[in-house]
Amino acid sequence: MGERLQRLLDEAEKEAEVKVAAAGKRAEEMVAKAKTDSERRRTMAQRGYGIDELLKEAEDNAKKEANKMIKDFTKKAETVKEVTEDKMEAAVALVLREVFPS
Amino acid sequence: MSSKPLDLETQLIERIIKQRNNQIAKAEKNANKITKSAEEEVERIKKESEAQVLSLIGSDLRAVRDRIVGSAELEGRKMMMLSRQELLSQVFDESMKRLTKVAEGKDKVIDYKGVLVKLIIETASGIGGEEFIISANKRDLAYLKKNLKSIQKQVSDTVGGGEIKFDDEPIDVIGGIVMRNSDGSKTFHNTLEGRLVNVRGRLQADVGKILEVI
Repeated sequence: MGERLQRLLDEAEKEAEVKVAAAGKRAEEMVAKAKTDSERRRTMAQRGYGIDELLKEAEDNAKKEANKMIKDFTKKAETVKEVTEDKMEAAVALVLREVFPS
Repeated sequence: MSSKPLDLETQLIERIIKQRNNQIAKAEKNANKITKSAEEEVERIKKESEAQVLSLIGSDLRAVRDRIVGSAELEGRKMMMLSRQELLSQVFDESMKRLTKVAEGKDKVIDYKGVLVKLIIETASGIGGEEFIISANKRDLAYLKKNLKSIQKQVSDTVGGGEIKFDDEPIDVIGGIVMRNSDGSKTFHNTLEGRLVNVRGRLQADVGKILEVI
């Protein structure tokens, strides 16, 4: 009985060690892969390769910005044309004053 | 028979199982911690790498942005300019309509006949000399011919002489005059539309300020 229980504990200890070791190994692999990828991207960027995705992203962002800008300008341009009658009348009066000899 | 040894045995088994489960749970917790830490490290490396790449190709990315956004900005500014121009055109179109009304004598405030005489005096002063030959539209020509004596006097009083004559052929203008001296060496266009064009050239900024579009 005592022996079986002890074996249960030993096996649990081993299982625990395996779990931690596996996690450690996986962690090392993840970090190593990230470092390798990072180095590869940096090297490629230095040579001007593999930046298509970034350029595409920059282009998409710029297009979004440009669309917003055009939308804002369109709105502003429409607002410019909304002049009150008073202002229009004042502007015409100024023109007429200048056209007629004093 | 006593059940005490059996209870003890059960308790022992339960304790051992609990101990085992704790050990496994602790290991799983450690493993998760290690994984999480690694994920954070990977994220940090990726961000650092991204920043390095961006700094390496920053000028390329900026060029892409400048090309697209710059073009949109240009288009937007052009739209604004066209809107302002459209508005200014409205002002000058309306002014032209009013001028036509004034010249046709349909405006109750402005005395066009007085305007016409002022235009003649102003033009004669500019040209100088002994004789002024006036061209005008049919309507104004008729008025001027009919009131020649009075107009002649006003011109003489202001300019100090000079005989007024008329071109019999009417010109196609809404109002105002074209005047030349006897030998045709000097011609002065003082029509209403000509003056409006001149004012448009000079006053666009002032009109824009009134309309609050500049």
